[in-house]
Amino acid sequence: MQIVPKKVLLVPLDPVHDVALKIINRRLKERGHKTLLLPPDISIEEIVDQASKVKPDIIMISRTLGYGVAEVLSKLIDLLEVVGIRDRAKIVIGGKAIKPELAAELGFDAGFDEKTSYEETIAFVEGRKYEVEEEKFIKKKKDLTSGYSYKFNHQKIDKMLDEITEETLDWCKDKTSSGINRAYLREKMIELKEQNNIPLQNRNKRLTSLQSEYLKNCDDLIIRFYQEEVLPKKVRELTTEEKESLEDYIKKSKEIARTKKIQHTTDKPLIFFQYGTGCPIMDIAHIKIGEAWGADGVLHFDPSWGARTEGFLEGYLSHEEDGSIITEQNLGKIKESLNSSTLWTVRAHRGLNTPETVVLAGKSGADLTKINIVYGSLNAGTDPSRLTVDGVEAIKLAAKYNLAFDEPTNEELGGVPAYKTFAGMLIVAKLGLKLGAKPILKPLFCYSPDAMITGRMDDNYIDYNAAKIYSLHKIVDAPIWPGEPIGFMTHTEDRIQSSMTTALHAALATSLGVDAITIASSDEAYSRGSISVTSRIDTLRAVQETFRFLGKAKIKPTYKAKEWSNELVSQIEKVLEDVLRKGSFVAALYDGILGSREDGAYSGRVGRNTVFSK
Amino acid sequence: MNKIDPLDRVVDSLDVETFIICQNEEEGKKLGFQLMKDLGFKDVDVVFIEYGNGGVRIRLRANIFKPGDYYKWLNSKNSIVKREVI
Repeated sequence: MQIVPKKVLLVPLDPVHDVALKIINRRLKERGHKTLLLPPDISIEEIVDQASKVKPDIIMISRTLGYGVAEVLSKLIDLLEVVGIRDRAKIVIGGKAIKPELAAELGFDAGFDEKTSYEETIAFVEGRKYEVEEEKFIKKKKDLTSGYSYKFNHQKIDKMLDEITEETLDWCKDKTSSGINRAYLREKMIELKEQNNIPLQNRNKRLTSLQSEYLKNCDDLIIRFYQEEVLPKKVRELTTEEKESLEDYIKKSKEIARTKKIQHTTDKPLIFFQYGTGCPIMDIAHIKIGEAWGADGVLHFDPSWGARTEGFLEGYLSHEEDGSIITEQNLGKIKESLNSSTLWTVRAHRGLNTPETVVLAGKSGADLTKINIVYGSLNAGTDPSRLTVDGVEAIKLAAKYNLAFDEPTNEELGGVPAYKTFAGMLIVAKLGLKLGAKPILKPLFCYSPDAMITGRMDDNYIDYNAAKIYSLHKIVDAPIWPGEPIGFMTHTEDRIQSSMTTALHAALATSLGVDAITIASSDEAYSRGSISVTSRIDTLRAVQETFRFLGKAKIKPTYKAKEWSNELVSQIEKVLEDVLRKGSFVAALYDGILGSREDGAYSGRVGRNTVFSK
Repeated sequence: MNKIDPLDRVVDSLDVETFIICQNEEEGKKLGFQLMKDLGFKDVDVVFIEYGNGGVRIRLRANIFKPGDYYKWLNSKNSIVKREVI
């Protein structure tokens, strides 16, 4: 639209507050309007005199409302009318507590308060319809892996990873498990339900047969649910009324959905948070509120017992404790609630349902999943052999469903040094690349036990976290998404401190140019109850403010970051040499090469002796 | 028009953050719980407490709806209130 230049008289009637008018003055000039900004605190007679000389199209007056001000403003309007300005110029008033109704009452054409944006003011001058910024902003879903070559910059590490993963794939090739069987049975069941061309009776018959096969691969807890309708403790089915109300809630929340950008002048990192309140309805409330405050993505967290149980339940299920139960129906409803731009991760990595979770995630329309064989084996309680066989199959399924997968290195929280967790993460990343999937590296930004013991964070939380990112850059060109959540073990129950530490770690993340971060709520350290939605908003707002503060500026780590990154690369090299010497990735897991008992890692027992030949 | 109970619209919990004059953290906690009880809340907790000279900075939480409860705000009449357009 072509701008028709206007003559604008800007009048700071307020004795001191003329900043807003100065900003408007600059913006109007930049857009080719002719402006005259009068000095502050002049008499209304002088204003009228100036207006008579200038003959403006618009007069913009700024004045904070206070005692006696209304009379002064009315008098000004009267005088402008007397000299014939009122009829030819639009006269607007802006200032604190000025409402459009009051402005109209005093005889002004418009009234702007402190919440009015400069864009709206400019639009008024130019006679344009103002589009609210957040309505104009259309958020698009981003691919975190886009633009990465996955080329290894460190040839020796690349070669070692190649050998280790060849051995691993070879070891897995003739092995399977009940978890893998279930994954493919689940896939068949979902696909069967999707086929509308099969007569209902035939379809149900085939479904019953598949379900019966499925149950042969499940634990008693799951079998009892399907056969006797017995739900696990603290689990209940949503009522019909709840389901209907939820439908309504999703529908209405989508109708009014608005998106917001947390990042200021950069496009990354994207901001994720984890949900898993136990209840899909509450999860959806958290997601919708998180989206409204600018979250770019969410991660589904299931209950810990879900990782130790062979098989999944079915239906719309609510759980009284942390972690939301993975079912086809729960995931489906959560997916339905998401904004089209929201990235959705369903974690699969650590237990007996890893491949089946990937199938459910893929079929439910997730964008990402989470797989790390090493963490699942060493700190999440699953037997290394079982999780290697299942993990490799899960990665194949992730490739099939085009789900990029992130690799959390949370064994560091148990005490495993970062370099060992990185060696494990790189092995799994290489497996991913060989199987056609897209891995995302997930180093921790945390005050880990190892960092405490070695004193690497005695001075600051910056250098060692930066060293982790530098070291990964030296090794491979791959997306990096620190987590999970950033600032782990630096949060306290103090809401301000908790939000602050998250925001500062986010500042470091943006300075280091990482692709995404997972942030905690300000209830992160509060363990006696569930996370409140307001605590989610706390950290989203804190991060937004940090990004506003930082813009394209960066936090500068000290020389130690480079020193430690070189050290990390050498240490990773050494661990990989040890794995190669061992001759087997799985044996290396059992023997503590990627994290030992002394470090605080214990190879898991859940699912031991459940791997069998194909 | 039926009177709306605002607590029916609270998604999960209600926090009260204040400073209570007391001798130590223990007393502050007791007074905090008493305050929440007097306000009529049953399921309450101290989320955060920190003693400084002469009193505690305290954040108390009343749980209105916990995950797994039947949320009154989910009722279709209450679920989402469209923003008023001026």
